Parts: sequence; C-alpha cells; structure tokens
Amino acid sequence: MSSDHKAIVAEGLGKSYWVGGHMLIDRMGMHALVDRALKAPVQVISRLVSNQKPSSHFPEIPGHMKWAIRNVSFSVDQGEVLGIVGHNGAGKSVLLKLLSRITRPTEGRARLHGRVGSMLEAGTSFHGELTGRENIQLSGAILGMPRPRITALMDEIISFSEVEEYIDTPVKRYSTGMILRLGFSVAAHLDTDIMLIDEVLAVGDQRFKRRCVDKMRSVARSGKTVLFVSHDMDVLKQISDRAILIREGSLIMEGAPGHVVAEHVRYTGKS
Amino acid sequence: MMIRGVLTAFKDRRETIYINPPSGIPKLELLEVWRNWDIILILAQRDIKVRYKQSFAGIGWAIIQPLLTMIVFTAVFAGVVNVNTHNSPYPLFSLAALVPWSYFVHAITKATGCLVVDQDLIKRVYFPRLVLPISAVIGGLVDFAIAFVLMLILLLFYDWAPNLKLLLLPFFLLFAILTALALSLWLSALNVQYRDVNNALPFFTQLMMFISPVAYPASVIPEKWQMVYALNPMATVINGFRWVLLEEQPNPGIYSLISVAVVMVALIGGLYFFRWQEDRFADVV
Repeated sequence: MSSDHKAIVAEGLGKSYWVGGHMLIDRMGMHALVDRALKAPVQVISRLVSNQKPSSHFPEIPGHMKWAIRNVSFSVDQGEVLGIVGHNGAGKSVLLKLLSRITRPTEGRARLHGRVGSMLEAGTSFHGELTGRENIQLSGAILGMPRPRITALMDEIISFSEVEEYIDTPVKRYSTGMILRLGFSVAAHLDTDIMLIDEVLAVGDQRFKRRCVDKMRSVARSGKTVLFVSHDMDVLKQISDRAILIREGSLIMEGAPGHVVAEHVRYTGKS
Repeated sequence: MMIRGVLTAFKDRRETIYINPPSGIPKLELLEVWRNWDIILILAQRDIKVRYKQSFAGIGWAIIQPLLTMIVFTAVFAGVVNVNTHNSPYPLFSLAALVPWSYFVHAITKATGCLVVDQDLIKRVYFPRLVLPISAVIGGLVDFAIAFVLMLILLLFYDWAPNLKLLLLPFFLLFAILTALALSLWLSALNVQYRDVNNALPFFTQLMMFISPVAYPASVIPEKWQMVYALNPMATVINGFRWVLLEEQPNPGIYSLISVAVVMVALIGGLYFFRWQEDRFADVV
C-alpha cells in the first residue's frame, strides 16, 4: 500500500519557540535585523561611555529555544479515527495547530489529503456587536463553509445551540456559556473530509456537554478521518480506532486506544 | 488493478495540503485568496456593520469628514490664499481630491491594524492571511461610494455636464485601491511586530497629504520636480479624479507612468513581504 491512501502523513514534525528574554522568535528573521540595527548605535554609545570591551559581535539575547513538539511521525488512514492522549502542555494543541496550518513547523513535514476542518475554536471569530445569526454566517464562512450551505444549515445550527430566543440579539449580551454553545454548534456542522477535534470544546452544563460528545461521536462514525484530542479517557477509548500518546513534546506510544490510555493512566498515577 | 487505481485517482479530486517549514521565497498562492473571496466580503460586511452600531451619525460619518474638510479648505485656500484651480469652483476642486483621499486614508488605517485587531482569528483558524488587508481595503469602498454621492450632488449643484472622460473613473479608482493595498501589505505585516507603525500612521498620512495635490493643484509644482512628485501615486489618483470629473483640468500626464511603476513594485514586493512574514503572525502577534 502506498502512502497515497493515507489521509494524514506526518514525518518528524517539530515546532520550537523562543522562550524568555527577547520576544524574537528566531535570530534570522527581519525582526532580528531591524532590532540589531536600531539597538547598535545605543550599544556603541553606552560602550564608549562605560569604556567596556564589546562582549560579542551581536547583542546578547537571553532566553533559549524550546521544542513544543519534536520528531512526531504518524499516519492516519482515510476514515480512521486517531485519538491523541497527553497531559496539558504535552504538545497536543501545537500538533493540531500545525496540522490545521495556523502555524508552520520548524522542521519535518506533513501531508493531508482532503479538505480539513478544525473544531478547535468555539466562538473566537464572533464579534460582540453582531447578532447570533450574523455571527453564524461570519464564523461559518471563516471556518470554510460555503455560503449556501450556511444558509441551509442555519436553523439546525441555531437549534443545536439552544439560543433560539436570543439569536437576533448582539452576542455581547450573551452569557459565556451561550457564546460557547453557539460557537461549538457552528463548528459541529462543518462537513470536511478530515476533522481535527479538540474535546475541550465540549462545554457547558452536563447535558450540553453530553450532546457535544454525542455529536463528536457521530462525526467520528460518519466515515470521516478524525484526529481527536481528549482528556476523557472513556470517550476516547469508545471513539478512536487507534491512539497515540504524546509526552513532553514527543510521541512515545502508538497503538490500540485501550493500551495507550492504560499507559497514560499508569504514568499519571505514578507522577 | 492499475486501471482501478487510475480511476480512483481520477474520481478523487480532493486537494492535498502540504505542510513544511518556511524556507526560500514564499509562494503567493493568489488563487487560494481568490477562492476565499467569501471571507473577504463577509469580513468587510462585518466591519461596516460593526462600525456604525451604537453610533448616532452612523454611515453619515463617511460624508461628514470630506464635507467639513472641504468647507475649511474652501475658506482657507479660496478665501484667504486664493489657489489657482484651473477655473473650477474651489469646493468642487477640493472635493474631487478629498473623496479618493479620504478613501485612501481610511483604507490604510483600517488595514494597518487588521492583523492585530483580528489576532484571535489568526491564532485559532486557518485562512489565507492576505484576506484580512484585502478585506479592509475593499470595505472602505462603501465609504467611498457614499462620499462619491456627495460629490455628484455638488457637481449637479454647479450645473455639471458629464462627458466621456467619466468612463475612465473606474481606472483611477482601481489605481487608488491598488495604491492603498500595496501600502497596506507592508504596514499591516510590520505592525504585527512593531505597533509603532500604527502610532506613526496618523502623522504619516498627514505628511503625505501635504505632498499630494489635495488642497492645491499639482501644476504649482515646478516642471523639473514633477517626476519626483509622481513618485507619490496618490498624486496621480487625485489628478485623475479631477481630470475626469471637472472641466478644464489638465490630464495626469506622462509622469503618471512613474506612479504606476511605483505601485506595481510596491504591490508585488508587498505581496512577497506579507507572505514571508505571514508564517510568524500566529506566533508573534
């Protein structure tokens, strides 16, 4: 079988960030150049004044590179549901950000075959001054839904969100829960070949949360390729065909969801 | 077996997305921007709706600004200084410049801040980032249209007889849009890292107005400096608007080709610069 049949292939993905000290992301970018150019005269003068030898050719930049994830390789078949397990800060979100093209990797590569939709954001594209209805159109378009489709799904999205009564009120008058429900509802109606889902999105009271998880479950069963990040190990075991475990930025285990979850739970219990 | 493979490949027209580290000269991928035209329009629509909610004068602001400027200019430059307007009434002469000028200032101001204002989007959703400055520049056209109606009313008030030159107006408008976009690409991308850009902008546009023929005719510039003067594309835009809307105005002249060249270089350079910087937006903003 060639890799042509894979929906997602990731090879050695890595993303590093500059931590501490400077706000510079890297030493090579335009920002660094401008920064040096602007600071050079000041430094020369201060050196002359204090009569010190320059310590190095370039200004010292405190801080260091930190790999959020590194060497992450895996592949996902078409129609397969891959669960991603890991602690907070392990790098799961960075991985989803890379695959959804919000940010680019520092090294490695990935290939996604098909249209990609992400259920990573709930209501972040909303604007407070616009009504719920206007925000559905806005958010839907930004997530990549064609306009006629948004119109067709409008009633369904509204009814899923359970904010019918306020749908023509500006969103700034909504409660936090209402905004999140509406946001999830838009994302849940995306129809793409590949779905990147973050379970954190299942929000609100117990009842709505259960509906969110049910919705994710039905997306997972619909034959789409799904990448599913979750902290709820029971849900993850039920939904996923296979799972990967990410710890401190590295992929350390891949296999049946039951095994991966067991290892994750064992490690969590130990630490 | 092979035939089935070929058939599958033929049927399967889904796009493939490649994710790589940034390297070398970025691809412009303007086709992808075009495919996201929906987002451009809906963001422009959002900005217009939002701007005038909870505002008393509402969309009337698009008229108030050029109108008041025109009145002050008329009082100073026609009443006190007495500028040569090539036989046009001064209110018309200045408004013909203020309409595209207001659009330009409005568009670049909006576009410069667009990546910072919409940083939540940039950090959480993928779409071609070029959509944001383009949408800001396109959205400003609503204000332009309203100000242009004011211009038409004033023209009719002065017994205006339109002539064929008017057909050239869209070209000068397009040139104004491209000028605004070219500048916006640079300014918006720079503003992500250096918010100074946004702070310096009002000052910058004010200075630029002095070197644009808004209050005075371009013909007061000595001939030997006309070439340098044309480096500012807005000079050509304004000369063009005056020429097609008013009578007896000189045409923008051969030096407008310099303006065109400046805009083309700034636009293409700006597209590459924007795409080059784009990879850092989500991390830096």
